[in-house]
Amino acid sequence: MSERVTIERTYPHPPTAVFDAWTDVEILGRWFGCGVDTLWQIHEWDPVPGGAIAVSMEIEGQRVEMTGRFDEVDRPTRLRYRWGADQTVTAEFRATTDGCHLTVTHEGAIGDGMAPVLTGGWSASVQQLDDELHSRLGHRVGRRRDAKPS
Amino acid sequence: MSAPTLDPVFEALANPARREIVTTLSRGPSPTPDLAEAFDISKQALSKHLQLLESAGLIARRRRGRTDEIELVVEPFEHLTTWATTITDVWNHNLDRLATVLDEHQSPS
Repeated sequence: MSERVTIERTYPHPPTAVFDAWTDVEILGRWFGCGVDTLWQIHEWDPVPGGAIAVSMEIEGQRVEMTGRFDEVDRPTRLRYRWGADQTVTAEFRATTDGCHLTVTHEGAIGDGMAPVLTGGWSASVQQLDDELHSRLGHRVGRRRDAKPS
Repeated sequence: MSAPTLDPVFEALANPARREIVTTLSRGPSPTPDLAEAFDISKQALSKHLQLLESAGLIARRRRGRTDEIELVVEPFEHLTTWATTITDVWNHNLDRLATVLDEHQSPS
């Protein structure tokens, strides 16, 4: 099964500046993380098609590593990289009158053995099931414990 | 970031009949004879579906007199929605930080 999350922001900076914040390791290292105040340590970040990605961080004393690979690098409009074995992140940069509109799409396949799920029409019915379950689960589906409002 | 126990959940839910059962149970626990009647399927077929749902940890059985009452276990469903919630959180934090970094980094041009 594949899930997709899309986040959009507008920044009062030209697309080149926003784009470069994704490819310049010095800038990237100041914002690219996982959670409120945990940043990735960037070991490899080679923003050319086929270029390698290797990052790590310490979470509760445990070292977490992540690798990936750039698929598309098209300054200053589009960046796409594989994240881990089965996730893809696409960043699209669009010029606006006073800055840059950024769209980040994060797609993830959860686990292996998903073929029977896909052929079983899962994706068509997941929304329906979600809706049905929402009222029952809604109050229990919250933010992660460590995710505090910033 | 993703829950390791999801595969059996998705496999159990890959079948439309089992999704129907889950949807019905989301409204409340139900005795097995009622389920068999509601879905117009044989006891054997129902029993097979329930077995799969049970081994995926999606339902629990409770003995009620002579029949079993089937109840939905909500925790696995929470994982289904939290992948998206977690990823959204991560990117919201990242893109907030990016705004700050861009403001700091901007040189007059």
